Amino acid sequence: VSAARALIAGLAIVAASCGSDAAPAAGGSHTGAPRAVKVMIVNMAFLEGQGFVKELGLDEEIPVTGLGTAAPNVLCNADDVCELTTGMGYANAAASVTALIQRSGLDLSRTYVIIAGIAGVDPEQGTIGTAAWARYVVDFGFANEIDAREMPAAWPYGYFGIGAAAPSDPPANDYDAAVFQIDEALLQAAYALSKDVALGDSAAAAKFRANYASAPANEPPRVTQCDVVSSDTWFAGNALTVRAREWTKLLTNGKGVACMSAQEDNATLEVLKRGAAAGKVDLTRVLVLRTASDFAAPYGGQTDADGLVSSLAQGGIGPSTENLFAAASPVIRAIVTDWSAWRMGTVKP
Amino acid sequence: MLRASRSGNHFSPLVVGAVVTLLFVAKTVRSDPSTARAVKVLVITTSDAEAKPYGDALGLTDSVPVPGLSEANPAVRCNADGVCLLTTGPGKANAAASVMAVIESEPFDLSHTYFLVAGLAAIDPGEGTVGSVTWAQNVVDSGIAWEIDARALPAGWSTGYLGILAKSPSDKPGSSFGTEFYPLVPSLVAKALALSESAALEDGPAASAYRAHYAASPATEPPKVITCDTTTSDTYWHGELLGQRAHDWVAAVTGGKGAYCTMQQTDNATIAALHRGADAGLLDAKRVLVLHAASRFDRQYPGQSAAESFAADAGGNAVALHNLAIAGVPVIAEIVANWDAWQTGVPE
Repeated sequence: VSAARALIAGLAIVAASCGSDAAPAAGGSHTGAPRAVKVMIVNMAFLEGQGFVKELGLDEEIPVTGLGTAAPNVLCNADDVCELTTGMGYANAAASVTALIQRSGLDLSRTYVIIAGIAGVDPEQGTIGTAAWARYVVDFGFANEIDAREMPAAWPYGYFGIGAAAPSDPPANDYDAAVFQIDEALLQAAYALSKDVALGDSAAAAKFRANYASAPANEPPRVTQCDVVSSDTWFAGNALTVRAREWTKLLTNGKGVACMSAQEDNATLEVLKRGAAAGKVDLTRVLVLRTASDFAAPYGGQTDADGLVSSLAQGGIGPSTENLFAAASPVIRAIVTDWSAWRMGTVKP
Repeated sequence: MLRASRSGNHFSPLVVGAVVTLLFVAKTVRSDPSTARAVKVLVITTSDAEAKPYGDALGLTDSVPVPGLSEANPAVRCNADGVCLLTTGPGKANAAASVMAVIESEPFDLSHTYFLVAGLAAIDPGEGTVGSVTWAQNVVDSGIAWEIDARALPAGWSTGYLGILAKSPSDKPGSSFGTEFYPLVPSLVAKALALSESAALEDGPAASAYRAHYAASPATEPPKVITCDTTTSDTYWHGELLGQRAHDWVAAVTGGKGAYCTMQQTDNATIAALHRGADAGLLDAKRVLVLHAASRFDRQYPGQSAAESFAADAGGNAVALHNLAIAGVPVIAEIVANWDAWQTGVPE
């Protein structure tokens, strides 16, 4: 559940409508060969992209049919680093990434894709500002649910898998976007390149995290590796956070560690998988980076409702958006600088 | 199969299929491969089971592969008269991805196409019954929301779901993703209802026996074709309490104009993709119809628990699959038969 995406959407629309009259630019070059993109940043909300656009000078606008009216252009620089803002939620993410693959005219076949957005964090795995590279991306929302007040007494929460009889049963194996695994070599390279970067923090975040009793929730943010769950429903609170942990274990044979909750990634990855099947995308070149804007579960003594309703008052919007670029930039720099090697595949740092 | 006793024509899917097929065979096949295929009606289903009765009735023998579709359903199927069918796969991600892939693909001209989004759903027993067929006026996303576990509700909260950036379930959402609410064109919905409401719906002894457990009409009565609104969420919820939440949510999102009736897992994503196409000038988003057939109730009957209700077979699956086509095919037949009129808009 990436906090503040909502707020940010409004800003995205305003910004798009105030945009400059850029000259239309074709995705394909004038020489005929499609433009080969080295790195494609996929953001969901306007604020998630701002660090990338500003710091990387992504000022070339490439209009793409189907991207919609709020963010109608892919933005690129002369190094062939590009950015897409999809809009929030599964429908927008799937629609925009499909448009990117089908209609941008860009050659994405050797592109490193970095899905980069803000999220809620499980306080057992991180804190506000934490930047996490995901190994597993698990769909939290595609499931059955009975209101917890009328579920069977033995159930720990009201969510259970499609085709399952109870929350502890594995779901039917017929939903192709249920779980994705990031290429391990690429994940390790991204983590190694970024693990020592200085992350942004804020006085408000430091004050808020002090409410939590233990680390890592009450410590300054770091770059880490832990996993993502996604759902259009931005859940919060103790019981549903436990469900995220247990569901992730269930769908990854016990290997995944639920950590960041987001609202798009399984949809984005489903479309990238389809692009890979069509030979247009390399799924082993996809990274998922989420930074925490708020806690998904309350501190001791705080209610679920108070934690959720105060999401935007946790001081996390600044650090989380800032840290997307902070954590991704060494990876982008390595790829662009040593493109002749990265073009062939992940380079071990 | 039992047949609902209703006035009007009593044609089976087979008869409808035969009529429609004859109608199509009589027309000329568009043969120029360099021309985009102009589609009169695109039926959008999520599963092979939903697609089958349409495929059978419409003679969709032409397979058109489209890059970006799912592995399970990599092609759009069409007949010679410009009626095509897409099967997306389940859930919002699959729906948006497949619909967008078709919109942006080269082979199709969708500029004048009518879109029939057709699928199974669960129905509120206060609005309909197993086997009911429903034309939606309002399509509301119930999944884009905040949620906490309902055992942790503060005083005054009726449900664990609330709008994103809201203060409580009775407060307005503080945000919009843009895909939360799609009102459809009333004149088109009314026309579809008029064209289908005399269709003889199927019923069955299992469905009939199951619905007798409910307390009142319309749940206890044979199915009819009706207008009623739908909600979308990847999370396939069940039970009285989440049913009440859906009711309150639809009322809030539609400003009191909509009334919750059915739930399913795809339609807001499907329509979101269609609106992207409309924004790009590729299609007309005013030509969208949303049709559901109820394969089950969305909540328990008196004396039953929510979990028991969820696990029960309401006897509605086959009946609903048949009725989905029984109600939808006459609308398709009319659009094709009177295309000169429909091409420019919904006839008076």
